[in-house]
Amino acid sequence: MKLKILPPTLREKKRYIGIKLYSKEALTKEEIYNTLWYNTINLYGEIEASKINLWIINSKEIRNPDHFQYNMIIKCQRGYEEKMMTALASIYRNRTNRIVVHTVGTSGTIKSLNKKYNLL
Amino acid sequence: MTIFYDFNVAPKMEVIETLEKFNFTGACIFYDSKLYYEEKDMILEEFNELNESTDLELYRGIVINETNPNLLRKEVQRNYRKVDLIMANGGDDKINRTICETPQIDIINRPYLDKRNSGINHILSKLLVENNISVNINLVDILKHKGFFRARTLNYINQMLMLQRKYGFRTVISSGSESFYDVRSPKNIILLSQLMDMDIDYAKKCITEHPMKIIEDITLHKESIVQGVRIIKD
Repeated sequence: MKLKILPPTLREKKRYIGIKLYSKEALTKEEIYNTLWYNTINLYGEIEASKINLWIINSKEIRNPDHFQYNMIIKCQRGYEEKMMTALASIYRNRTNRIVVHTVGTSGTIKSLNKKYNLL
Repeated sequence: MTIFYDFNVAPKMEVIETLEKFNFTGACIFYDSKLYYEEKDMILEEFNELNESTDLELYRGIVINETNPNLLRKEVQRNYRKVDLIMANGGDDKINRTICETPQIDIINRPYLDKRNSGINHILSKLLVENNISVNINLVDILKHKGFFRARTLNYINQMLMLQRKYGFRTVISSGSESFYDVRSPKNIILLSQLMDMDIDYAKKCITEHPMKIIEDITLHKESIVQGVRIIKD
């Protein structure tokens, strides 16, 4: 039997963060996902990383003549936005490839975040 | 509007453009002292070009990397008043002591690196306050390393910040940008400073108020004849 969906009041509260990721080389979504998680765990440890609960909602590759640019919306738990943004700012490289994440802003809904910063 | 400064960047157009995008007010470009002496004309030309192409307040400085205290003093005397700012890289105990005793130096760069302590003790803290020298915390040191090295560096910085709270010497936080990928926004710098034992208000001061005070000191250096005496123009 399928589990019934949790009512909204009992669901985990979430916030969305808009980011722009710049890379020297092309990256797949999986590589980006692994890099973000790896950096978060590296900085805060497994316990805090589990509380942050990072998830990539949407991503789009943007044409940029100088770098590979990916605009993304990521999800984290409400109250952990600052920790999430610190972990994102601490990203320095993915193996030998240099990358940097510029956080654009945070919002409670995907729609308003996209409307405000025109990410996707 | 808040005024932000990044006090240790490379002379590259992409870095300056990104700083401008992040609404920084000013930046200081540091050249290696030996390179600056050898290729002075070329560096000045390059600096003027950069300065003309941007709205940022750009300052020109040199970074001295010496392991011998006597050579360090000579290098400082050779460049004093010829550049806006003089920064010296921290090293062993003797070098750190010489830097702290030299009022002509404006900034001591990462005294905590490659050591088994923060590189600053209670005596050097008093000297830093007396000689108006700031300590530069370079974010690259934290970002570049992982695991043990990052934890150790953070521990040394925290040791230094404990002394800062007691003796009140100035600290500045800089990104140490050498390429586009190193530049961080003011908000990200403040967030990253929270990894250290630093409150958010003090972190803001490290990229706003403290660099401004260093800039004010540039004019004082230029106007002073001997220590404690300066020309006041009408």
